[in-house]
Amino acid sequence: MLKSVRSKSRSKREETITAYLFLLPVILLWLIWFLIPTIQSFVISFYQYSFVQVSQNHFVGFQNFIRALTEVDFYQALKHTLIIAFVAVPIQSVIALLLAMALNLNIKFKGGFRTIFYTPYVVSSIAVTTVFMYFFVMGTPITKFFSLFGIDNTTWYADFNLALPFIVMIYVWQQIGFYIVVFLAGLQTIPAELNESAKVDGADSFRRFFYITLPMLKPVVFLNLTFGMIQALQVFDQVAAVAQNQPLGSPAGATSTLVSYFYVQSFKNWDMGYGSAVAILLFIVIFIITMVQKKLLDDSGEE
Amino acid sequence: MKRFSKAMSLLVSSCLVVSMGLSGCGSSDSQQASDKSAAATSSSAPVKEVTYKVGYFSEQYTSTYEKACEGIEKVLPGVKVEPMMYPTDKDYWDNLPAQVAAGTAPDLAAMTNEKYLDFISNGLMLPLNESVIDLSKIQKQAVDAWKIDGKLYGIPLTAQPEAFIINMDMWNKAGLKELPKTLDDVKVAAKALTKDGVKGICIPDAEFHLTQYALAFGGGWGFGKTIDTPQNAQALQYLIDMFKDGVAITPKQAGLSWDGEVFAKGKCAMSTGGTWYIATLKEMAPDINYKMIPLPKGMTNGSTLHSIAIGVLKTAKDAEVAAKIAAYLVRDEVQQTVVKDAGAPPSSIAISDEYFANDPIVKDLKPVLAYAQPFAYPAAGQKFSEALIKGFDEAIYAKDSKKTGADIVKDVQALFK
Repeated sequence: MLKSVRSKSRSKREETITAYLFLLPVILLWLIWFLIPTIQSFVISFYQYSFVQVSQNHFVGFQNFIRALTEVDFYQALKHTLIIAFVAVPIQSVIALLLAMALNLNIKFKGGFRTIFYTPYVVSSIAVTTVFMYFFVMGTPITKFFSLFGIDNTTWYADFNLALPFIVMIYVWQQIGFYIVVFLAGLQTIPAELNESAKVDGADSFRRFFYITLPMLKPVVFLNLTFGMIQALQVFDQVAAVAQNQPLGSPAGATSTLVSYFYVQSFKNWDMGYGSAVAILLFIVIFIITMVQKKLLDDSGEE
Repeated sequence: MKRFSKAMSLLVSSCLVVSMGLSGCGSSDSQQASDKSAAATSSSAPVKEVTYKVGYFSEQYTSTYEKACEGIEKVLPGVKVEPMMYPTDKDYWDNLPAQVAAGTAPDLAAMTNEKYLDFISNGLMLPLNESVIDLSKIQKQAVDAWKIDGKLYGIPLTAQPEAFIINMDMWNKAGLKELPKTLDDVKVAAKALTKDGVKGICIPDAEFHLTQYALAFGGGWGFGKTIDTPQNAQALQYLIDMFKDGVAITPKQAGLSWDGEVFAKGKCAMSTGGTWYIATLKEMAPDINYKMIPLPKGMTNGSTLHSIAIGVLKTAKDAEVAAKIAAYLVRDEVQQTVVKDAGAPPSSIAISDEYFANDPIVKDLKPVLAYAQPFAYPAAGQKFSEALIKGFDEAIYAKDSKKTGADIVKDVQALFK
């Protein structure tokens, strides 16, 4: 009896050690590429810190944070970041859910459609943006088409008012594929019997969607909204591609986001301390939004 | 137990991989250290060959720098120089500062006098010993452009005046006769040339181009001291008005990357630019009939002097040796290659004279050298260009913008009090 217990406990210990050994490379990489830089960034945010003039770096307390909170450009970047997130995420979630539901039906070429929808997600954002830029130059069929709806026939990414919607459009188009796959996986976990019995009870498709599908998908919706929000709050590639050789955020800061603003301050203006403070503020924004989202979804579940 | 030993072997392999990685990093450091020590002893016993690297961007200059690096060992025994190309100017300016900070930058770099003040003021470029070269043979304006507070920071390879480029077929077709002499003439011509999807003039929203007009109006940035002046305000307003009149276009609006491309593709009839247009037009629009003239007068003659020079970076293994290499890299033979392969005006007075005399396309630009000035951006050049372009873009890209030239210079000046 005692021998058996010992053997079990030894086997358990070996299993634990094996698990930790397998986790070790990931933990090491996480430490090197995430935790240490994050702590460094936090520390640097309290310094006047330039990587080109290290001898002149010095502690400035909360000065970088105060500067950010009093800079017009910071608020402009924050505003654009929030616009992208709060416009793109709901749009991409709704479209992705509708397409996922369509792909969940018994239709022909289902696999082909899934591949088509997912492909943009795996293509480089810079490449996708560059292609879109060709299509939205003044005088092309697409800009002429939109001019029928009262939008100027102009180069969208060179227009102060259209550049941000242009970024949102590309972003949504590229991201949808990923969220379709996640929704599809969620939809496939809903037992078919639930829908069938509701049907027998006379529930129409509208009611089945709101009373069965959506509640059952809640964890997936939370995942998609949270992940989508975190991603959208960090848009950078599209902004960089649109800027071309101009300053990031061009034209005239119309597309600047918190990440592009952080990049400009840190790596263009060599003001790492201020840039890090902006990064910390971005982290706080993401954290607050995620917590609010979680709270709202939790509350809706309790009801 | 078997599982445990498997896991142990996995751990050992992981450690090996990590240690190999670390030793890889370490070996590069030790290599650098040994290079440095070799450099230090090079003057007394140049036995071991030391390799210096010279960074540059633009494929256009590859043959120039390859040629430049040849034969250095005959002049500096034990020294080898290798060119190190960065694919684009953006890669170059974005990466170089971080590489200098990390100690991985080349020893020398081909810099331009547009972007150098950020580097100099932050100590990333080292002053050079002037005795390594006879500066009297080099264009004075180019030497002056590379002297900051009396110290020489680069040995000029080129001395390029700015040019105003006109598509002569479009000019003639529009019934225009005499070439423009003033910026008012340019405005009138731009209106006449704007038709059938072509804009009269390309005005890139870039500090280089805006500076030309500022100088022509008698302004200039004065290293940040004279940004908010009526002349600069007037120059920017002149440009903003051309956009409001619908006769100007930026490369971005045309969906293209730079003004040379806009001109080559026939989307504009005039543009500010430089001799670098020649190679582009040869390749993209070999049949285009164009003329290069000095920028027409505003209040005065205005042009910048754009100069590429070889500078020594803080990362140089031995600054003295690097300065001698810099002098070697701009020798006459290399300047001939600059003319032949890159089509750029050299800094050597003698070769420059030949260049302007022998090439009919650029012959009208020679007098510009006499009044061409340095860019005189503030030391925080990046910050300046961002603020200037942002203000200008707001005026031209926002349909209902009321931003004036005076507003722009006032806002930018506020950053450089």
